[in-house]
Amino acid sequence: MKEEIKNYLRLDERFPHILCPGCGIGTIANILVRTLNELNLDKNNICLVSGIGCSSRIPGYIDCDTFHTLHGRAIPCAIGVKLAKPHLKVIVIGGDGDILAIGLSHFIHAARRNIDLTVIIINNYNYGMTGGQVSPTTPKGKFTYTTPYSNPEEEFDIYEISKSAGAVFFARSTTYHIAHLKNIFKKALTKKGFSVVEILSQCPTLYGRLNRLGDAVKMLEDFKNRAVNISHIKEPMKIPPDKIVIGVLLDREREEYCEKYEILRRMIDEKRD
Amino acid sequence: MREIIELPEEIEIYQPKRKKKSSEEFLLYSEETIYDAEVAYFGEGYRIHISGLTHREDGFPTNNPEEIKRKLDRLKRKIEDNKEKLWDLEYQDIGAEICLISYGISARTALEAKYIFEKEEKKALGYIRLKTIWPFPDKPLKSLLKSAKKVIVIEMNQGQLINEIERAISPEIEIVGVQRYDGEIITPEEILAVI
Repeated sequence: MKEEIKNYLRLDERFPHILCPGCGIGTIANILVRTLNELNLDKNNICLVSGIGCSSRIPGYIDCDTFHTLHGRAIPCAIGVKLAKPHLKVIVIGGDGDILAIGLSHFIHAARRNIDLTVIIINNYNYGMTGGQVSPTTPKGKFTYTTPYSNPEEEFDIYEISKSAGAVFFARSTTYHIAHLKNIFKKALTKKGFSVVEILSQCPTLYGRLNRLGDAVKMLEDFKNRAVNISHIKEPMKIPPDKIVIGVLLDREREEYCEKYEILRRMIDEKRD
Repeated sequence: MREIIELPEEIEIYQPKRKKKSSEEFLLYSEETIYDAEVAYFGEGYRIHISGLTHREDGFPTNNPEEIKRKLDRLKRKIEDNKEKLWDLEYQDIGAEICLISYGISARTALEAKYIFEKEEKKALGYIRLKTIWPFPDKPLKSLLKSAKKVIVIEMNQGQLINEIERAISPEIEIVGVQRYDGEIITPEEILAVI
């Protein structure tokens, strides 16, 4: 392992990690650390915030200020960190169950405020840590331990939620497309405002097994076969529903919350004097 | 809103001791500094880990039963060892024969009942408002109620504290409860009815 990558990890006592063999979360942590290194971000100025779940364990392995909060509450805690210390690069990491179920309202309101956070949503289509229950992103017709006769519900479209709530950046990638993912991370981490990255990840232990998707390699092959890069799409209406659209789906400008807050604070200070 | 509050002009802000040790030596929840712990903040180079899970001295999660027990014992000890500093109650006319005890919103009703009683009966009515119920102020209650003959415990529940109060005070004191848990608040008349 390269020395500069080691520099970003709590190697001495946090490893080995708790993830299952074949899990995609390790890949994502790996790419995230490499991105931090390539962007040359000072580890003393990064704060990683997470909630509860498999993906929320990532910050524990990365050597920077890390905040492992309550289930679903990563975003409000991250907002607190960002408002108190606006110079920090605050990154939220969470799963589909954490951010889009119990933490959904926080996600929507943070996007509405457009506070400068990078939110990484690791979507493995189920609650992995608690044993494979249905989540808001489990596709219709798929099996989990709590939908043994198949899931009758429609899944969330994270892109549509982010867009309508006011996020300025949304990109999707998978654990197969690691070079693409690094590129997406770089764009999201350098974008000012509320930026969202959705990463489709394999959970071979639960979701993959219950849906007979094969091992981790088979699941990665499935991502590879189904992914379509947005830049290659000419007619968006003609994308078959089983395809996964990857790439930057949304990139726009809006006023950032910390800056607006600072202007307001100065205005009040001037009035007092 | 039925009452107004007054805010003090100046509020004292307690500044925790800033940490001085290097990031390698620093333990976020060190057992050595149980009462006056040094704090470290995000973005100061300490690269701390804060977790909602049961954690060790360095802040990282643990499933070790021994470490978890030691942590929870330490947290409880912090309260128990300092209960005399934490006990907080408000009282008036302690020498009276009858005393009202309450906490929370019903303490305001108790105070109103005291004013009405004193105006009508021309004699004092004791009043105690518990500001802390854990650690339970058993010693101060016992000494405050030395000369009382009857105590009325007013609670907005089915009587969660009345037994705790009975345990703390002299067995010769008569104890009566006024409780309400139907969505409405207790009125002064309900208290006056049991005096």
